[in-house]
Amino acid sequence: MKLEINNLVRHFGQVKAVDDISFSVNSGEVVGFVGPNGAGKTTTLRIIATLDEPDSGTVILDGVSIIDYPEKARHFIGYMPDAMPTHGDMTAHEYVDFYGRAFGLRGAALHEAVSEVEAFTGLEKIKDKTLKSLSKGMKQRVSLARALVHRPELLVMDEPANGLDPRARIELRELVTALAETGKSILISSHILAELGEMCDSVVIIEQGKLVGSGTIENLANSSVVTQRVTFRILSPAPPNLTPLILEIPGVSSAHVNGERCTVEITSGDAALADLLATLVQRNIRIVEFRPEQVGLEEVFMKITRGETA
Amino acid sequence: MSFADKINPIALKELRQMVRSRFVASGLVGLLLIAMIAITVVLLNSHDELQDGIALIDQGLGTSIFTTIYVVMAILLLYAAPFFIAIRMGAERSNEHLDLQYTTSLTPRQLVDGKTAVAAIMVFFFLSAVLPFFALAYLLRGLDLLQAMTATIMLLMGAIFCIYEALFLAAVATTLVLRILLVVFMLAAQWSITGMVMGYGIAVINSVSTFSFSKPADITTGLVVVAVWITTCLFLRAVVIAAVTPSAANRAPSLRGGVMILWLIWAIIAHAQRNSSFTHHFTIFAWAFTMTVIFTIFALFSASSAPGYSRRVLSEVSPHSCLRRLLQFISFSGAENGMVWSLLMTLATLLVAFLSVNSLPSSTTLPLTSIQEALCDLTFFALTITAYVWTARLCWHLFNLHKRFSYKIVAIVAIIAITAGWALPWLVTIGSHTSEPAWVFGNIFAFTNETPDSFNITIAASWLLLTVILSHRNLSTAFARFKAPQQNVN
Repeated sequence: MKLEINNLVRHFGQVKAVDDISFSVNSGEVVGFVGPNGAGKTTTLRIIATLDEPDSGTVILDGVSIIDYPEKARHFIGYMPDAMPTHGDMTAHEYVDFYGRAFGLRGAALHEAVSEVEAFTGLEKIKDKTLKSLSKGMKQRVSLARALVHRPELLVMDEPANGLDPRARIELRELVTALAETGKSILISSHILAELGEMCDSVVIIEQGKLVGSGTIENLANSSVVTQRVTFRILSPAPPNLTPLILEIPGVSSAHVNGERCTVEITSGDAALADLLATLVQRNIRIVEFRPEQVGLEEVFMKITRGETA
Repeated sequence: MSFADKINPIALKELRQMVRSRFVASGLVGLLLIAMIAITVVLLNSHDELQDGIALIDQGLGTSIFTTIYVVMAILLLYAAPFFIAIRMGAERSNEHLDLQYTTSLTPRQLVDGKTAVAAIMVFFFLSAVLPFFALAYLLRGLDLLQAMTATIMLLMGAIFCIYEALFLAAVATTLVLRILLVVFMLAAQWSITGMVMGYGIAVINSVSTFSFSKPADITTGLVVVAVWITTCLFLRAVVIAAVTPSAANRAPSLRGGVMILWLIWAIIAHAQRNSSFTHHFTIFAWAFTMTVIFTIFALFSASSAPGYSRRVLSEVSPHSCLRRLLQFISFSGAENGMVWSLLMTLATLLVAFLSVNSLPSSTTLPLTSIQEALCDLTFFALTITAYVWTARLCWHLFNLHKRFSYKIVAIVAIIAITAGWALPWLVTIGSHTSEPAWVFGNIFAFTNETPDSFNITIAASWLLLTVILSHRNLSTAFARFKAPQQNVN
């Protein structure tokens, strides 16, 4: 199942909440959807979940336009909003059961789907408790079970980790990973970038309603926009001309030499990294350790965005 | 397949929630408590008469007991049950529950019918709880079975109507201010409905007003009341379904289709009754007047919508047949579409009313002139009010008001203009001893009652025609935009 979003535009009065966004989510892929508050994430996710309609652009799910044929698309989409389930007087089981029925499941098929999803999300022990008596983490599991009960191919999650304690976040991450292994496509927005980085195969970054970056975290880090830091240690004290030598390499933005330890910042990705290493070897500088620092989603995000909202 | 699998999922969910509801439990306990207290008081009051040797069964205590429980039931069913369901519907709309339900296969119709079914079940639940008391009242004599059943059916009809009314108010109240206003409106409306139901019910119970199957007038009245009730409930249901349907969806066809069916049914009833000595052919006037008001409300709503179409609406437009596209233009969601539909239906209503009255046999002894005059007044009223709505909308385009003001206030401006235009003839005659103000429905061009009807109608028709002609650019733009998606691709 492939989700393709092309040139999506959505206005709210004079405000352009979503401005010509295009990206795609492939089968079995976990895509992180990140951006500052008010960047247009929830609007985009609501459009994908068939709850809103764009002014222009298309959202195609396996060849079916979800804007023109939302009723067809809904069977393939599971939507998990940022709000917790608030039917406080219903039990977890009744809540999931209701949504199963709402998707047209009945009889044995319904029973099987509800049992399966309760087992997957770990709700079996608390299924007879009312929603108001559950913790946030448990409510989030109920919300996930609700979104999965009709076995959708695409799962759209809006800020699922919001307000969860560390344990609940880890459990949620494990559930998302397990879901991805079953072949489901997952589009997930979150502010918890460190965890999103561990879960996602790729990310889409938006700001002021515009797409400012997309791809795998490595690719984004290797792009010229993001500075990557590499630390290396040499066997003997550095020669005096080492700093100017390194700075001559294309893509290197700064170099700090402190005895045997050197720190270099590069801006043009793996090519500059390879050039740096080759230059050091050519100059017979004996390297003991060469360690490019892993660039996380947080660094990528901070570099790409400016903290502005639409 | 179990019973739960056969019923509406919304109804099942609401039933599950209702079982745990404190409101329902306390309402039931309170009802039973009041019923028991009422019976105890009535029985204690009968103690003196018992000592005087009058047997309990001969005292006719049934009327007192039935009336007491009836009043309690009326308050519970006409106030509490509708409020309960209004709160449930309001909660759905405010907590994003509705959004979540719209990511499923549930339809707005299932949502509304599910809520209504549960409210109706609650009404029957309360009623069945007091049935033993009603039976006791009947056994204690003082009322007959037909009286008790008539009063109870009235109560049930009132309760179902109030449930639809509550659902309607909860569905359209999307902001806090609107909610407060509508709660006040609801209280006022419930007050009059409760007064009507209780007044008639108590009158029936106490034999002040009686219903008999042997009297044709009673049967006719009863049938008309039931028909009006069914019509109003169906109309409210259609409006509630439209109100909870996502705005991007094409919600107009089912609503307009429902209204047109009711329009046709009532036209047939009114036409059939036009020569009846009982209704004095004013049925056709009542039908035309009611329909004109309804179509004016629709026109006001449409005039307050921004131009353009959602892509879901356009995806349903026929890409092939031009005639079909034209018919779809009249019935589909859209500002201009709704205004054109309302205008056509208003004109059709007036035409049908005139044809119906003019088809009366010449031998009729009924006052034909008065109904024709009434229809002339109605025509004048309908044309003028429609002209106001079209003028207000036209101003938004002609003077580019849409750049500064939302289309949402077009209806408000039209209503203010209608009110001002209606008051103007009175204002211009203040201090004048020679001219009388005219009852001219806001036509500022007609100044006095002496003005002939034909002149007034001509002025109103010309005004309306002029606004329609001046709106041709907006109408043609709307029709040009009203194309199937593939035709939009350049």
